[in-house]
Order: sequence, then C-alpha cells, then structure tokens
Amino acid sequence: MSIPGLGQIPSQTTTASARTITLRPAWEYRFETESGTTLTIKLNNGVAEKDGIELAPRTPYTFANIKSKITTWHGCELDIEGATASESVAEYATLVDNPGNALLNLHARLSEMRDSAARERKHGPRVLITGPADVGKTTVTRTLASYATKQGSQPLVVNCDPEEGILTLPGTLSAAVFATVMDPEATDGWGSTPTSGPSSVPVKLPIVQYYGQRNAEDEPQFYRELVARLADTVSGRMQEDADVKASGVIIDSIDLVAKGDEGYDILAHIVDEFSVNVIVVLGSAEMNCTLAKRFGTQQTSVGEPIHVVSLDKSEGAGPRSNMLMERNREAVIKEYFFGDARRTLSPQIQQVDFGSLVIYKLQDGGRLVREQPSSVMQHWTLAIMHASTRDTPETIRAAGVMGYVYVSDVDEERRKVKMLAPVSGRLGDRPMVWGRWPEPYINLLG
Amino acid sequence: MPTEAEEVAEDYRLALEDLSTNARFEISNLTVIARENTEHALAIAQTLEQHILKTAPNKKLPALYVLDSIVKNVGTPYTLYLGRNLFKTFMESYTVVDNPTRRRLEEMLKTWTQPVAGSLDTRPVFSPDLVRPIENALMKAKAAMMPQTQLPGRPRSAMPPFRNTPTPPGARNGGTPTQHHQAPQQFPYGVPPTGQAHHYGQPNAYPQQNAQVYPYQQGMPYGQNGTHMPPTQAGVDVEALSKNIADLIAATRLEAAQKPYDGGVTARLNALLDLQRIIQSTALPQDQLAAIKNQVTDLAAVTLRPASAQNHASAYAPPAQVHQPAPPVPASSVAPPQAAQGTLSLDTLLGPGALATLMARQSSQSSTPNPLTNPATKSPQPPIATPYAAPQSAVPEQKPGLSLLDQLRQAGILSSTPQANPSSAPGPSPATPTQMPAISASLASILAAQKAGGLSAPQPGSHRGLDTASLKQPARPDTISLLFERQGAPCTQCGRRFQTDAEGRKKKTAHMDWHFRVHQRANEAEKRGTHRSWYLDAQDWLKNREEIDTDNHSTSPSADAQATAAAAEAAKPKYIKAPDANSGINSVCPICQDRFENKWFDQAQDWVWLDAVLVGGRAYHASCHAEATRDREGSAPPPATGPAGVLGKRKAETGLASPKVRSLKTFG
Repeated sequence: MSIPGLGQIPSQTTTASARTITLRPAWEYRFETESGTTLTIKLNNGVAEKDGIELAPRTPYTFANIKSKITTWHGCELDIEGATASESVAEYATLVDNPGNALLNLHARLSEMRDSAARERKHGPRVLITGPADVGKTTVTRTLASYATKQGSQPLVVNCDPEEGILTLPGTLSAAVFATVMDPEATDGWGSTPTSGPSSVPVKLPIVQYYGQRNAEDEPQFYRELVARLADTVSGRMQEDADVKASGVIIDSIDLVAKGDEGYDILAHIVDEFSVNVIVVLGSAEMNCTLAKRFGTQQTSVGEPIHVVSLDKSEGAGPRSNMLMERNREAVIKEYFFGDARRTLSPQIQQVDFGSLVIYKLQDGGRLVREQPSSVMQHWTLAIMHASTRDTPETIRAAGVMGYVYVSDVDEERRKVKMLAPVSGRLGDRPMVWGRWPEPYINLLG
Repeated sequence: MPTEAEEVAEDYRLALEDLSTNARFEISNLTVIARENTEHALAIAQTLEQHILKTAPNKKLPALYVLDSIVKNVGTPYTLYLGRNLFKTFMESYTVVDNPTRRRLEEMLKTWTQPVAGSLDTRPVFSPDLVRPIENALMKAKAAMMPQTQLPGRPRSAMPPFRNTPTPPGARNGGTPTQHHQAPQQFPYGVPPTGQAHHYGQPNAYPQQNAQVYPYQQGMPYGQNGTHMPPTQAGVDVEALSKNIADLIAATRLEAAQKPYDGGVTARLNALLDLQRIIQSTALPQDQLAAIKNQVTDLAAVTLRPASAQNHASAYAPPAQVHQPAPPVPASSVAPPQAAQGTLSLDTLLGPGALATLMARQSSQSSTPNPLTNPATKSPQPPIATPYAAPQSAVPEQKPGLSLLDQLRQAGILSSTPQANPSSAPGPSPATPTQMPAISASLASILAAQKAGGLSAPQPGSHRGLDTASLKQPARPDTISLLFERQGAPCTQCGRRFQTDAEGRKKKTAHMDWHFRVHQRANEAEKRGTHRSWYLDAQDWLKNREEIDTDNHSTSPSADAQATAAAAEAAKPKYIKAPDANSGINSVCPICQDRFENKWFDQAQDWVWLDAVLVGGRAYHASCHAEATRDREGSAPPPATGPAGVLGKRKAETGLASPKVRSLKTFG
C-alpha cells in the first residue's frame, strides 16, 4: 500500500532481467547500480530526464557506479535491463509533491532573470547551491544547468566542492561553460573533456584549480585563494562572452555542517567572490534561517539584493556509501586516462628519470615543497600544472591544471618512474603537484 | 473521357458514400479495393480524404475507419498520401462529431503513434511529426473547453469609436475591393446557421491555423476544398444562391433608400454585400452553402415582397434536417461574463465542436487588446426574437470574434424564424460587418505573434518573487512546456530539441550533420587511437567560445584532407598532428634544420605541427617543402604557401588562420 507522495515500492535487489516500468507524470524511478555491473535504461515512450538532462527516445543509456533517478513530467515508459543494488518508484500524487517542482519554479525565475539580463546587457543570476551533506546539491546544480542549456542559455557551472570533480578529477575546483546538451551517461554526471578524437556528446572545456584535499575546511586559506583565483577567471570570461554573461553562474558549493562557523565563513567568501545573488539552501530549514539572517540583508558588489531560498531535498537523496563514492572516484580517474565504454583512449606509459621530473608535495598550509620521487608515490595521481618548472611554488599552486599523470611504479634503485600520461611527450618540463586526496585505491595498470 | 484513375476514384467515391455504419465487412472490403488498386493510390487517397471532409458527421467515423484500416493494412503509398493532409482530415472530422465519436477518434489516433499491431515493422503507423500536431491541437482544444478563468477580458479603451453613420451603398462598394482578398480569412469565423451548426464544422479554420503553426506543412493543398467540390455536384447551387442574395441586396437597397437614416437597414445591406463577396470569392463546402442558403431563403421570405418570397422559398426550400440548436454548455455559466461570452455564444451558435476549432484564436483574442469597435456597448441591443438572443443579450459584452453571419443574425438580418423581421430592429445596427476582414487579419497576425512570442516573452503575472513559498507553488504548465514541447521535437540521438520553424530546421540540419561527422570521425579515430587532451590554460579558456554543432567542423590533419575541396584547403593552415615521439618521424625539418614546435590547435582539437607536411614519412615545413619542390620542378609555388613561399620565409607561424594557437615551447 502506498501513500501518495510517500509511497515507494519496497526496495529490492532485482535480477538482471529486462523489465518495463511505466511512470505517471511527476513520478520518479530511483536506482543505485550494482557494483561491477551496468544498468541500461531506454526511454520507450513519453518524456523523461535524468537530473534535468532529457533522454533521447529509444536510445539505450548505460549507467554504472551511480545512485540516481529518472524523472518524468509527462509520464513515460522505460525499458530497464541489468541488476541494481536497489531501485524504487516514487509515486507522487501531484506535481507539487515532487521536490523537482520547486526546481522547475526556480528555473523559471532564473530564466526570467537571464532574459532581462540579456536585454539590459547585465549579469545573469549567480546561483549558489548549499546545504548539509548528501542532500543532492550536485544533482540540483546539474538539473538547473541542464534546464538552462535546454532553453539556449550558456551557464557557467562552477564546482567549489573538492570532494567531487566536475569534468575533472576530485580534489579540484573547476568551472566550465555548458552550452549544449549534457551527457547523462558521463561518469561524473556532467560530460567529458576534449580528446584527440570526436565525441558523441559535445565536450566541455573546464578550467581547473588543484586543491588536493577533500574538504574546504582542511586548508581554508589555500581554498580561499583558489576560489578567488577561479572567480577571477570566471568573471573575466563573463566580461568577454556576452552569452555567458547573461546566463550567469551556477555554483555547486561545499557541504555545510550544522554548527561549523568555518563552513559559513568559507561560504560567505564564495558568495562574495562570485557576487552570488541567489543562495539555494537544500534540505535544511535551520541553515536556511542562518543564511537568510546572514545574507538576507546584504547586497552583492553591484548592489543587487541577495535572495536566500530553501528547497526540500528529494527523498531519493541520501547518504551514499563510502564504497559507492570510492568506486565513482575510481571510475572518474579511469575515465580520464582510458575513456569509457563509448570511447576508448590510449594513454602513454613512459619511463622517466628521477632527475627530469619536478614534483611538489602539498604540505600543511597549502605550501608546495619540492619532493623526490619515492615509492610512496605509487598509484597516486599527480596534477600537471600550467606553469614553468622555474616558477615559484606560489605561482605553481595558483596555476591552472593542465592534466594528470598516474604514477604506476617507482624504481628507486634505477631512479626511474613509470608514469601514465594522457598525451605523449616529455613530462619533465611542467611542474607536477602531489596532493593528499583522493588517495589511491586502485592500480590503474594492474 | 475519364482516365482509369478517375474511374477507380469515382467507383471508390460511390462505395464510400454507401458506407454509413462501422461494418467491418464493408471497411475491409474498401481496404481490399485500395490494396488491389495501389497504382491509383493517389486518386483513392484523395477521394477518401474528400469524402471524409464533406460527408455528414455521422458518416465520418466509418470513413476514418477506412482510412485507418488502409494505412494499417496496406501501408505505403497510402500512408504517404493520406499523411499529407492528415491534420486537416482528422481535425475537421473531430471538430464536428459528437463526444462518443471523438473518443473513438482519439483511440484511433493513439494507435497511429504505435507500430502496427502484429507487424514486424517497429515504426509507428504515421510518423510522429504528423500525429503530434494533432495531439497538440486536441490538448489545446481540451484546455480551451475548460472554464476560461485565466483569460480575463481586457479593457477595451483602445478601440476606435463606432462609426454610427449610415454608409451609402455606393461608397461601400467602392471600398470593398481592397478587402476582397481577405474574405476567405473571415470564414474561420463564418458560422453556419444555428439549426445545423451542431453538425457542420468550418473546414477552413484548421488548415489556416495549421499553416501558421506548422509551417512545414505549408504545402498542403487547401484549395482542394473548392476544386474537388464543384457546386453542381451536390445540391446547393452557388449561382442560384448568389442570385438570391443579389435579389435581397436590391430589395434592401431600396429599403435603405427609403429610410436613409435607419442604420439597421444599412448594416444589413453591408452584411449582405459581404456575404455576397464571400460566396463569390470562396469555395465553400456544401454544408455551409446549404446553411447560408437556408438563411437567405428565410430572410428573403420576410424582406422581399410576399409573392417573390414565395417563389424563392419554394425554390430553395431548406433541407429537412434542420435541428434544434444545441443548448448553451453549462460550463459557460460558471465562467466570468467576458470569458463566458465567447464560449457561450460560440457554443450556442456552433455547437460545442466549434470551440475546438476556434480555441487558438479565442485565447489570443481574450489576451489581446481588441482594436475593434464593440458595438453592443455603444448601441442598444436590438430586440431579437430568436431563441439565441437570450444568452447574448444577457451578457452585454460582444465578442469581436463572432462571425459575419453571427453579426448578421445579431443585426436581425439572418434568423431561422421569420419573426425576426429586420425592420423591427430599432436604432443603429450594432454590427458593422465591413470591419470583419480587419478582424480576421488582425487576429491572424495576433495569433502568429502570440505563437512566436510565447517562447521568450514572459507572461505578465508570471513574475513571481524569488522566495521559498512561491517556489513551492505548482509549476506552471508553460514552465514545463518551455523546457520540452515548445523547444520542438527531440533529436533521436541525443535528445536535444529543435524548433520546427525555419531556423530550427536549419539548426537541426547542422546538428544532424554534426552527428554524422562525429560518427564518421569516430571510426577513423578508432583506428588511429585517441587520447585525452590537456586542459586549456586560463588565457585560452577566456578566449574560448562554446561552439554548438560546429566543433570538429573544420578538418583535420592532411591525411584526410583530400576529401575537402582544394580551394578551401589552400586557405587553411598546413599542419600535421604532432607525431608520437617514438613514431620515427623526424622532429627537425630536413630542409631548414629547425625543430618543429608542438602547438595546440583548437580547430583540430589536437597538438599539431603548424606549417608542416608529411612527405614520404618525413616531415617538412610546408613552406620549405614548397620552395624546394618549386625550385626543382620549376613550377609556380602552390598557392597554399602564399607570400611566405614567395618571400622565402619558412614558417607561417601563428599568423595563420587560427587565432587560437598556443606554443608549448619545449615539448617533444
């Protein structure tokens, strides 16, 4: 028996058999993929979306290592094949019962703001999404971004949450303009970056800052510096690109802890740097109050009022197991070097002398210290920076990321490092930074 | 002598005319005939379409079942031929049939979106492009049937004043020719007399709307309506009707001359003149002609002298199937007066079906300031003895969208009962029918503007505050439709939606081309092996602009350059993909002994050596090589090198076509 709006068919581990489910308008199909297997979803009929990214009709989509949902506003029929760790159908009696309804409304308002910004050649809305951990902040960010691109906007999506990368590896802050359809199948849920070959979904070009820690609070000073740096670049892009300027910015920000002042201060810094004028607090009325008190009376640098709105979290959002998160991070790193099922990449394995490498280790306080290769470095992923080896550590840590290498093996006796690089070429003329997170879980070449 | 196709078509027409029930045997018989005569498919399809259009409402369903059966059991080429006018065929039938039949039509429509049951072919019966417009129209029709509380009337302050002066007939005649061509446009609002209105739809309404909303169907031969139904074919004689009207006009003119200050007479005269124009310039379907004829006959009976009225009445006796008018739909009573007015009178006059036909226009009217005179508010309502007068006079506001005939009736000219003697209408006429063309024209443009503007212009009232409470309100339907339906149909490969207008089609073509190129290049790339590119640095990222469906557009290393035209090739920078270090390709130009530099080339999305060519497995600077070969062969330098070649300069460097070139100094 199901109560409208709350009713959920009890979770069950399903067999791999093909099945068809029918969703009525505003219903959701929620699923978490089974470790090591994939789930294929095909939209048979109707209209459906994953995090705001519309599924093409009768095209199979394959998912792995994610916990996600398929939502429909029109009703749809889905063909599903593959085992899931859990799946359920959320039956919302009315549109309003689905938290996605508020997102649609929010999008409509943002869309109006973008329209008027375009007319007046002003900045579009700068939206920041925050809230406690595991309430679906990234999903909301993605949905808003996708809705915006669907209506022809080119929002600049900024990731300020180092725990999950957007278009790049975790442990970074990044930003990218989303001008075309996003990729529902992407490993990180957003899309992929350029390769030497073509891509069936248009690639997105990120600008990446390397943080190398898990939480913003770990190295707050360094984190703020990177945020400021990213904000500079972002506002530079907005100055030069009228489409982006009118479309505004959507920021996926950090988790807030109920009583952590540090988090609020960092958030205030982000709000300030990006001149945020819409703060979306997800899933916590208490935090909404705190933030409304703090920002409700403030104005942005250009004198606009700051709106603080609260959205309910989806019941589908919830703590993801560490294992799932780990598997996903692993998948993202793999995807960077080797590509995914749709596109195989061939990275280069190189033997490099110790002496030809310039490696910095990230130390406390965000300091970079020159480090000799050692076997401790094995299986870590290092960032190659857009800087010169002769630059100071301060310049290097503030520089953008050019790419990553994976340390496969360190032979301390022969002083040789075996490295996996996406592109062939000498590795020694760019400084590399060795962070502290994400830690290596896998042997990519094993 | 009729051709074979004509004979087949004529036989088919006769067979169709005998079809009055949903007898499976007859329908399958007609299907078999269609199957056996596929060489005359076009003629049969046209015959069937015409039959569906003009047959009585109670025979429409069987005829549509025949269509359904043919497309499902025979398929091409019928699907093709019948698909062309599917919207019109379906909607016009839908408009005039009763509700149970509509449900059956809807069920049938649903099956068209699916593959034929039991068939191996997975494609739907009709392509979604054909069916979707119908579904959309039905959806809108249903929405329009709802009480229209969301469409409040606007103040009518902007209207031109009512010209309360009698217009001399001569002046009227002089003024008409310019409006003549607009006469057909009036007919969407043309209302057949009420007795039969319940059954007769307005065949012109949908095709016209169709042409505006679905431009890709513009090729529809709307004109066929008239050409395929010569007046002599089925009963009502246009000639006789015109003459009849002409007689009436003469009589009314006489009356107008006697009572030059009686606005009612003048208005009636003008209305008759308009009616005459419509009849002469528009090929009306038989049912409407019959309806008009009835009215004219009745009118003649009271206007003309008794003797001649007698003649006309006997000559053009109305058909027997005059029905009682449909009662006003109850829904209209709960609607606010202004909104209800349109609903009420249209429903009463036309039967519920007409609402579906008019819905788009109606909504555009009620949300748009009306530039037209609103006669009823300025002049006393004439007492009209018809049963329909009651609801109208109960509501003081007069909708401008009412038809010419409607206004005629209002003016007391047309009526199904002789009691409504026009001479009994005191005071000035509330209607100036000559303004009708202007109404139609403005509505058409309003409609178009509304459709076009609906995408970007935020509706007034949608501007709600950005606060938590307002976000919890139910999302407005147009919020969702702006994200989906109004973005057009999705690309079958990636779900991106494209508008159906000209620009949208152009974009879609570019998009499909892009998909095609990606597929093509994916195959190539597979052989070659691909790798992740480096991220851009801040400088390049700032300059980068998102390219939609144009990325990967320009080519690509010289290996596959032969494919492109030589001229285009000449204008492009020469480069080769930076080879792997261990590929054995020299990294120094054998001619000038300079190293090749790795550069990031956005156009190719790859690291390249600019100004380089591969000749026999060795890399050269293109300009060096061109010069060397020119010296050797004594021929003119290839145009590609341009001034660089002439001046003996080696490298074209960064001054080449792409501005997005970045040097990576020591790589490689």
